[in-house]
Amino acid sequence: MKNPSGGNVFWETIKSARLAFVLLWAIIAVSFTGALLPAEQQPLVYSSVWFFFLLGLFAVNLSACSVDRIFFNRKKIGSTVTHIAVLLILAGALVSVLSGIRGHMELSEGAGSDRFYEGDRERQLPFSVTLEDFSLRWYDAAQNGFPVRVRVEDAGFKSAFQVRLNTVYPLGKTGYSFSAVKYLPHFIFNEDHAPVSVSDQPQNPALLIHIVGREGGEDRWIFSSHPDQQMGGDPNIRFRFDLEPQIKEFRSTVKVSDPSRGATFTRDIKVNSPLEYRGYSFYQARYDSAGLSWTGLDVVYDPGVKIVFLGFILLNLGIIAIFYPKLKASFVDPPKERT
Amino acid sequence: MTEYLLKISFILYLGAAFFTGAPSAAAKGARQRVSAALLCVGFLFHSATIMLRWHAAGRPPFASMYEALVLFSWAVIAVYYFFEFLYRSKILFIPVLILALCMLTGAFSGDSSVKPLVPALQSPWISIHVVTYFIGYGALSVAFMLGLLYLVFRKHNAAGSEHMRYIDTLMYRLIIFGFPFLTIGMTTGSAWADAAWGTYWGWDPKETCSLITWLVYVVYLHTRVLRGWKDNKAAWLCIIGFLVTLFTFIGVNFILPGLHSYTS
Repeated sequence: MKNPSGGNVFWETIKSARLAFVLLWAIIAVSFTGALLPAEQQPLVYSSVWFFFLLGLFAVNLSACSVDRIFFNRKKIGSTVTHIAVLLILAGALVSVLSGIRGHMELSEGAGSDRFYEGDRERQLPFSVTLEDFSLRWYDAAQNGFPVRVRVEDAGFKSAFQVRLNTVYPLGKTGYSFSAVKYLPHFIFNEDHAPVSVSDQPQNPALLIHIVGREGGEDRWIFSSHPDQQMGGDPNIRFRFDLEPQIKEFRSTVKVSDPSRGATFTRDIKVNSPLEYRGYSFYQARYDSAGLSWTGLDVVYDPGVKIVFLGFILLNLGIIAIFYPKLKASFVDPPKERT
Repeated sequence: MTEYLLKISFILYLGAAFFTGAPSAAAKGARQRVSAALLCVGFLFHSATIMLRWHAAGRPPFASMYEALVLFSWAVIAVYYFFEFLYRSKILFIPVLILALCMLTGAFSGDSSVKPLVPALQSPWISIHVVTYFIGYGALSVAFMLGLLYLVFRKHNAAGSEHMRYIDTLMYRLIIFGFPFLTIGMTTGSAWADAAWGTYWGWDPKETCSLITWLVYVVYLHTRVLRGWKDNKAAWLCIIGFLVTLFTFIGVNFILPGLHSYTS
């Protein structure tokens, strides 16, 4: 079908800037609508056929616009690279959707597996992974001082402290002062009824407080897991230990065995540091918070990632190529009365 | 100690604004020099605050809303100095001071304690992702102020007048300066997400809103080239772009929590 000026109406529409703006606003509106939905309902938008159709139509429009106005124009090399980059990103995303696999595997210490699960579907790996060790590292609880709140009942005194060990803290004009003398991350009483820490994991953090009061001194254990439990002493002074232990690192040490290639090696998997082997990537995702005896790994096979990242690199280069010369270009002089 | 340094820089910025006076009474002579000196010293204190906090925390200081606002306000002034160097555009002086003072006021009302980084934030990507984003945000926020200024001045000036063309061009230059940083920030964030969770794009609300922000500025840039929008429409689009940016930066953390909810 031809329009009055002799062009093909379909082609003129597909390559039109008007369609590009309509599609851009539509993508913005749909994306925002999806963001407003609860996480479990978002796939209804972002994984829907009509959203893919919208992105596909945008890719066609972008290709047509580019072929018509930008490509093969030496002066528009930046725009050419940028538009190719966007198309590459969309193509990479399509490859991810069509051939990417995302699953998970749980491994107990000492156990290995060559299988993982994509939802309920079992998938086979071309090699096996064995968990040799799972460990947690915590931030040093004393690094920024222990958070302690103090209340002196009859004086109406309340205050919060970041307490350092063996430092004396006077409590205003109440006649009391206190210091922290010992910290145990995993407090228990041993067989001799002596307080000890059975591990360096903050399972039951406890702080021994030495109180100097109006009628002498006393020692008192306070617990962040049991803030209202205080062992004995002057009821006129109350402490609250607000420590919230922070995890510094999750680490799964795994052994990869690949008999088909004669390869065996050991590697640590941490957040931000996945294991990558033969196109599969293993990410630290879950762990056994009670006994640290197993780890949960996300397993991803996604051939689209490299295409998308190539698109990202080209996108940045293209955009810099477009705008950097424009920034350097001569500028209209500032109006004199404004300078 | 860093909080005291920041308060000093805030007072210096306040002093710079005081000596400059109202936008209509452009600072000249001694007042102008005093204002510029106060801003410069304040910026040095501001920079020292960030460096010292970085050193004290043992990590890049970009992990909480307090730290983000300190960096954002720093980026706004850094962008001002870049444009002052490039174009001698002193018209930005007051808008930049207003922005920096507002952001620092917001920072002072937040929790300034140094928090340890959760494992997901312990990434080499954090510095490049956050710094590039905030330089981009800095430029776009100054462009937003110019957009407002454009609409205010437009009531008394013709669109083609020298003043209006100057503000419009400067606004455009700020956006084409900020947009590449926005792009680097978004793509490095995606690379970081891939390293941390194995998904370069997960339609997390923050990711989605950052894409929307980017697309709004894509529309701004294309309407300028293809439709010749340089008047009120461009100023409005610039304002909408920044409001979306602001929503992405702050609003999402409170209204649409997701993977980035640690920033709230």
